[in-house]
Amino acid sequence: MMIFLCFLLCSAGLAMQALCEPKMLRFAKLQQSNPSSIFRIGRYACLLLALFMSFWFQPVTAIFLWAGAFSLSVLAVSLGWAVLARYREVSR
Amino acid sequence: MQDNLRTRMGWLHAWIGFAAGLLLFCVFATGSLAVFDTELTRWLQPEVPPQAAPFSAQVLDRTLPTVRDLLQQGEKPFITLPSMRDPFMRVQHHDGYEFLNVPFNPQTGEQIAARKTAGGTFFYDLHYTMRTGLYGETIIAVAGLALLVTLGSGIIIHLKGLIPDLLLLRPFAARLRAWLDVHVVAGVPFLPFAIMMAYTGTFIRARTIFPPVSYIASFETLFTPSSHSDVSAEEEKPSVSPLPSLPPLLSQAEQTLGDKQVGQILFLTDSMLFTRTDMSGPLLTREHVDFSPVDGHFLRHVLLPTPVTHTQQLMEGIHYARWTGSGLRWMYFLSGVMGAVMFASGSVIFLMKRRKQSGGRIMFRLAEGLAIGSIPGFLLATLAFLWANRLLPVSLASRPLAEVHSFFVVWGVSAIAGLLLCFYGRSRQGWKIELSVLGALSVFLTPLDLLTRSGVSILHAPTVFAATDLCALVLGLVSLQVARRL
Repeated sequence: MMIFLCFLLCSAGLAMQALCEPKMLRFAKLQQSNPSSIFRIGRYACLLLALFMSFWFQPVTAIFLWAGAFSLSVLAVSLGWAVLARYREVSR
Repeated sequence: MQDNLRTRMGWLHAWIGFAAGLLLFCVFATGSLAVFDTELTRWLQPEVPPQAAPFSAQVLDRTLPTVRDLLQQGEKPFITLPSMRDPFMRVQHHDGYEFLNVPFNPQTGEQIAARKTAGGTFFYDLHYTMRTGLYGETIIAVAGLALLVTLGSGIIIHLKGLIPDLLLLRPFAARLRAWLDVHVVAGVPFLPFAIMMAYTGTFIRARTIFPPVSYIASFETLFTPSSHSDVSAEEEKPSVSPLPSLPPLLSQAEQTLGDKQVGQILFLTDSMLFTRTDMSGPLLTREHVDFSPVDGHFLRHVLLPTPVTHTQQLMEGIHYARWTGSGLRWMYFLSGVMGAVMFASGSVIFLMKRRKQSGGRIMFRLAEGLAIGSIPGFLLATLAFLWANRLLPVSLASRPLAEVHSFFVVWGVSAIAGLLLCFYGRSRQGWKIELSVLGALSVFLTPLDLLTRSGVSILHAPTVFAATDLCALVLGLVSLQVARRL
């Protein structure tokens, strides 16, 4: 359960990071504008919240849990973003 | 200056990475499988049902005839008690490579008639010795050092685009671009895992790189005839007295180690060791309470509490991950798989970058042939091992060895086929054929499992069988897609 929650929070944080990155926006052919402050703060807040929760609920395995969830989230967000970019390219 | 450093690190990253990468691909792949060695053994013995009744300590004595037989054969048998990962009681012994086991019903103590198999521990042995003993261990430890060098140089190369490129995966871009993205996405986020495994793995096997005796002395002993061979086999066999009842001893051991903290009972000729389970915590202490095998009286309680042994135990605990729950073990597995993907994609990039300039050279063809043999060839051999387990007759003599031979024959054949096709300038066909066969074997593993397992139900609860079949299916689909895109 904790792993899943950590994974969700990291994924949310990384998705917000992608929305703040011009290179990622260009790749998915999304409109480039100044990212909202919610995204700019949220990308760090989600990752820190995941880390805090890991330490709070499972202190022994917290580092492993957070690092593993972060790695898998990067993979999930990259794959999701690639699918989104492909979809937008095909639907044009 | 910085560009100069990056260029130099690029050279180091490419050459060390490719040279050690083909071996490290196998190490990461077998390591990922070894995380679930107990579960794989259960898949490889389909006669043993997925669930079992709760354990009753009173039935432990029913395993003693099997233990005695093994002791009389000069083996060192041990009983593994039921755990979260395996609800069955098993009598095991090490045959020099794998742990062979006989399963028992944990409530009635009846022996389950299961096929003999090399089991999941085959991959564990392959992971750290490549089945060549101490010399294999040394080579793997050196490869671990090469991994640290490759990771360090890789970080320097990718430092500039570490954050902007972290999430960038363009599978439909030009081939080289797509493979580079796969390499970065499989490598960068999993760096903490890769560094941790490289460091702890090399630390655990440090004695092979820094042996307590000189290299020359160990080289000389290689050619010195062993005096051990003079002793006849008859003289080596010990006489085994009847063993004492185990339940009271288990209860006594639990008073020292804690309730349900005994994981194994090891039988030696002069003592019986009730050992702490590996699942008790991150420190792999192997603390044990010893009893006499003659009358069962208490001998000693052994625990090594020094800081040096604690460091060793922690390194082993982190590397083996036997104390973790299934969630964290899946993370280890997926991270290991991504490590293998990192090395596979790195090798492909290395070859792609040099194909135009050196594609006709013999050394290039040799390198590509080895890459075909090591990447799809190794995975083909792994699938062949699983197929052989289900297709070889159950009554076959030396069945575990036959499974192992199937693995190595298929690996050898795919490596030779890859090399021949590369030397005849048909490397693309080599990749395509091996990936397609791999895809077919993986996709059809589920039907094979359903056809060769009794009491099978498609709508069963998630079990080791379903998880193994699903992983093979995913591997098959990915292989077919890569073969299609080549």
